[in-house]
Amino acid sequence: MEKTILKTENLTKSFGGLKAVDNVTLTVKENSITGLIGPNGSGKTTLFNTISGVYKPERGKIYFNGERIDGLAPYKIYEKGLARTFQTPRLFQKLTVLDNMMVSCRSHPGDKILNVFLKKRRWSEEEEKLAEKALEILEIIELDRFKDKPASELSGGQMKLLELGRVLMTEPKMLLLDEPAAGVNPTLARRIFEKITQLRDELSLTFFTIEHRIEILLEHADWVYVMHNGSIIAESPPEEVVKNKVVVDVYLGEA
Amino acid sequence: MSEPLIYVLDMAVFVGIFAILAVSLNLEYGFTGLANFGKVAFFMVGAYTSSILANMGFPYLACITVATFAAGFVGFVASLPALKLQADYLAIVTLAFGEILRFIFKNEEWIAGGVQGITVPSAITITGVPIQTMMLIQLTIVYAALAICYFIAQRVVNSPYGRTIRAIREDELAAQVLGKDVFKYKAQMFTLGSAMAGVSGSLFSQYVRFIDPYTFEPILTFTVWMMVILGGPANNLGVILGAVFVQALERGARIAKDYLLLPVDPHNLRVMIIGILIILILMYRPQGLFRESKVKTPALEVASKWKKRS
Repeated sequence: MEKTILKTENLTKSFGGLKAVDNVTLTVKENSITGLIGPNGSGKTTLFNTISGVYKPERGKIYFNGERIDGLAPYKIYEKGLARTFQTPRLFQKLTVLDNMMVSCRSHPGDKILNVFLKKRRWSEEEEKLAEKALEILEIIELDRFKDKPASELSGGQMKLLELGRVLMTEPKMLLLDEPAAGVNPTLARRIFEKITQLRDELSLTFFTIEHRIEILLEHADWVYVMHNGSIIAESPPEEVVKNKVVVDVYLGEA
Repeated sequence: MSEPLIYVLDMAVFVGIFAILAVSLNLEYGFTGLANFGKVAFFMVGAYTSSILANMGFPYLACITVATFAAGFVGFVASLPALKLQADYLAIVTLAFGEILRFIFKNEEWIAGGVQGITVPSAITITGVPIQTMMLIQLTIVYAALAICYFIAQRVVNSPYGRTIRAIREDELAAQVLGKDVFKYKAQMFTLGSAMAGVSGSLFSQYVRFIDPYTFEPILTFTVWMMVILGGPANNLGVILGAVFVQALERGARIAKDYLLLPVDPHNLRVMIIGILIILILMYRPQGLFRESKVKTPALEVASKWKKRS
């Protein structure tokens, strides 16, 4: 049986009177690409924000690899191997593309104030290794020729790619991707999902992905959840989602 | 030895003292994005600590060391509640903190004489040497301290740590979800910046030999901000040149007032010149005279070789 990597139980988060995430219980299997779809405002991003620790849940539990992670600070959740990207890329604008990659690496000895002075040789060696690794990832996402450019000079699609590359530097176990293919042309969107599948296979990662380009998502996902008004209204293998009457109603308006 | 030399030496000493403050504010604001408008508070803690100890007869090395740690400690304690706030609120809170501290020194006479101020005995007494020689000794000490602070600041910003604090400045939330304990970095930089301000305060008190609460009004903080904004935030060399520039105007105006017959008071004119310059800089060159320096680590070299390979 496949192992569950992420599980939420009765997760609830509201803003004022609005329940943005309402009693959500779901599981994500290890090494899968799990999709999350739903109309605008259905609570998908809020769900991601709650899982990644940006918001504290009001009620409910979140388990990652069998451990409770609800209520932990975002950096602690990251340390457990759960990383995320944002719907609109949140890059470090003034830093170069390479620095954006390097800043994301996990437990760098030179990232501690005392080591900066006391262990220069050690962190310098590590720095060289990590730079190689960052450049290799940049090559995969075809951004290596922009390495010295500030991130603010990239195009929208390139920013999306850099954000994906940046979380790959963190050696995560699982990634929450908030619309990885939004705002990029259809060819690039397909390629992004091909890369995701490739990464899943090569690095045994798990992906939980929000995506509005349903046709592309359904080609690559193993399992799909559908959200509406804060609740999960359906879950199924991708080929069955499009046939589900409730889902079609939600997307095409009241039938 | 003539009087102009005294003016030049005096200006050079002030440039050094303020350059240390500019470097320290640059660590906080330029690199980490912390709008510390209470710089003067930590400068004041350094100055008072050093002066009180000097009056108790401690050698100067002890005075400056304790002053550094005292200012760093006060900075650390102040940062714990203050750094929970967003940028604008941090500015207001730190500004108020400086004033509160100043009022404490003003009203609690037992600490350091209240409004009467406190005279600081000279640490180095060599009898029979001209004033210029004494000033040269002071100058050497100030610039040695500046060199150390500059070295520390450069080491910090050209490291993976330096890259992280810049990332925090750019986007705090993104830095958090990438595993950075943002609060820790901010508190460390605030503490380091405050400790450097303590060094500067100690040197200042030792040079002017008399301090009172009126020395530490908020305008001092704004002077340091001018240096950072003019010189170029996130460029350590830039802010030092900013300090040279602002102090040259400040002291130069005094010299001009004493020696030249002008239709306007140059000392007041200086305030206008600085104001106009800041407006021009913010409009036409918001990054300051110098651009942000790169993160210089071995990664740059690896990256430059990569270009040749592909």
